[in-house]
Amino acid sequence: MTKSIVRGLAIGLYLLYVLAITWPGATLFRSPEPLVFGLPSSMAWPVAWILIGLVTLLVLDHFENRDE
Amino acid sequence: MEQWVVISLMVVAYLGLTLWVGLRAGRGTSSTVDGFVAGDRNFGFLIMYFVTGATVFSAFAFLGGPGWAYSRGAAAFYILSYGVLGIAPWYVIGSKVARIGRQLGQVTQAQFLTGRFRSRGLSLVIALISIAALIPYITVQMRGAGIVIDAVTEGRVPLWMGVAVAYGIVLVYVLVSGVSAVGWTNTLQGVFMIVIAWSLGLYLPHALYGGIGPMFDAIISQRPELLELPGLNASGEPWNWASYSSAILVSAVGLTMWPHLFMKAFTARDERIIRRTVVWFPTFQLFLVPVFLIGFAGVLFVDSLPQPDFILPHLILNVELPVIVVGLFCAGALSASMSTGDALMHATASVAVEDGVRPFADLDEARQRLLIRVFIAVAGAVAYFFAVSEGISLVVLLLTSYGIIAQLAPPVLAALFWRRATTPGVIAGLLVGGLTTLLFFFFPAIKPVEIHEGLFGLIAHVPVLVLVSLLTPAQDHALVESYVSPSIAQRSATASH
Repeated sequence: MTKSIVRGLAIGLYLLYVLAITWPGATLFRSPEPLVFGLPSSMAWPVAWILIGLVTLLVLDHFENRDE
Repeated sequence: MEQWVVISLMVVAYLGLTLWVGLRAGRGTSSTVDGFVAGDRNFGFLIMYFVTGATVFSAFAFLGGPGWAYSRGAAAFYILSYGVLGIAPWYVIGSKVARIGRQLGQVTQAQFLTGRFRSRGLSLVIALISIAALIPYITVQMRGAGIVIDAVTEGRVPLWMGVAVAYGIVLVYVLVSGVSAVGWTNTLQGVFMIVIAWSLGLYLPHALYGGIGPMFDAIISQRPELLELPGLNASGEPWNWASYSSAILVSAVGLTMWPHLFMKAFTARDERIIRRTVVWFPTFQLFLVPVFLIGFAGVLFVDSLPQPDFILPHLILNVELPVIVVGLFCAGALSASMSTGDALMHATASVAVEDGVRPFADLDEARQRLLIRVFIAVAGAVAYFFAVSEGISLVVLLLTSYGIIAQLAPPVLAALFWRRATTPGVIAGLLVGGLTTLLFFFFPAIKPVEIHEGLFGLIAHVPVLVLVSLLTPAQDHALVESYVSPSIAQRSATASH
């Protein structure tokens, strides 16, 4: 995969991140039930996006530094 | 020995350790302005990670976070939502700012902006905006420290004295060691906070409800509205999506524009360090999870608390915890307060001198350092005055200052990415954006939709910046290139020498 594709994907994922945790995306997970790993869905959703954000940055950084 | 004596001894030991680390930190740093303000641009990954993380784990997060979870429920999840979004662009912006700062010898945000948009007036405006936003922020940290000490010593050490002791120590190490003290103490404090937040966040739900799942099941069965997004507003009514979403957006835009965080770009050893810090920042954001668990643990156990910010100390003192846990909690909360407070005091004074005074007066290095130290003491004294005065709504001030600080984002982006931006365009945009934010803050009734006033500011700001820039003459090509493509500009400068 080339660096520019990875950059494009990272930007795309982060734009999706914005939509997912604000209106309207977050309305899909407004209810606390069901519990996910003991956490209400409404809390697990932003936590899941923190993890997606972390993985995205790790992958991006890996490709950015591959040539160095 | 009585419980409060044991706790006080633990706190004293902890404060002594912080002071020792802070004083030792300055050894090996040069006695220059570069050394005092930017640590000789020599911070490595570990320190940068904790310095950045300390901006998340402030007294606001440690006390305000559980307070929000307890009183406003799901509304608190906005604090979980904006951090990673806010820091991710710094992967590109931060490393570019660091490179330009190194090439042009900059140590503050205003120096960075006025390097491209040459105007002493702009420098002064940025200095004033920064100081006006930073002082309430310091005050919140100080009050946090005072509240904790007051609560665990059962009032024997009143708020004014607790703040004076904790921040007296901060003052000493920051005055002696400058930003190196901020870096090393943040590392110590960061480790403390992580351990304590997770221990308490897992322990309290287990002790009170038998686990995290059972805790939320109990809350859902008794107060289902609390956990439903977007949570409740300050008066306990359901909050609205526009306010919730715009709070996330404005906080994300404003996050890296805070001077104490922005300036740390100039402290990193190289751009790689900044990028790695950004990559690992989300792990710090996850440490907010146990903080919220603590707040939710209080929901069914504590009847309405007049000041929700006291939920954490209140729970700690009423759940019959072992004394060592209470002492450790106290040290953790002080860490949260002091690790943010020291960076804020240092940034306020650096900005006041470098951006507010130096463009107008010729100062040699020794005078600059002296003046920065004087301003650190002044900033501390002003914030102390507010911290011990009752009746000032600081959290409201703090949330509004996010709206003002967010107005620094368009000029920074324009400086780095838009060749056609001009000085008059940037000044006009900043004034219109700032004034619009203040207008909707003071007259919320005229808001056409219920969104954060900072977002109105940005909506007015950007078109003005673009329009005025296009109507005024373009900037000198070499100057523009030194910002928009710093690596190419540097290569051609090296080649011509």
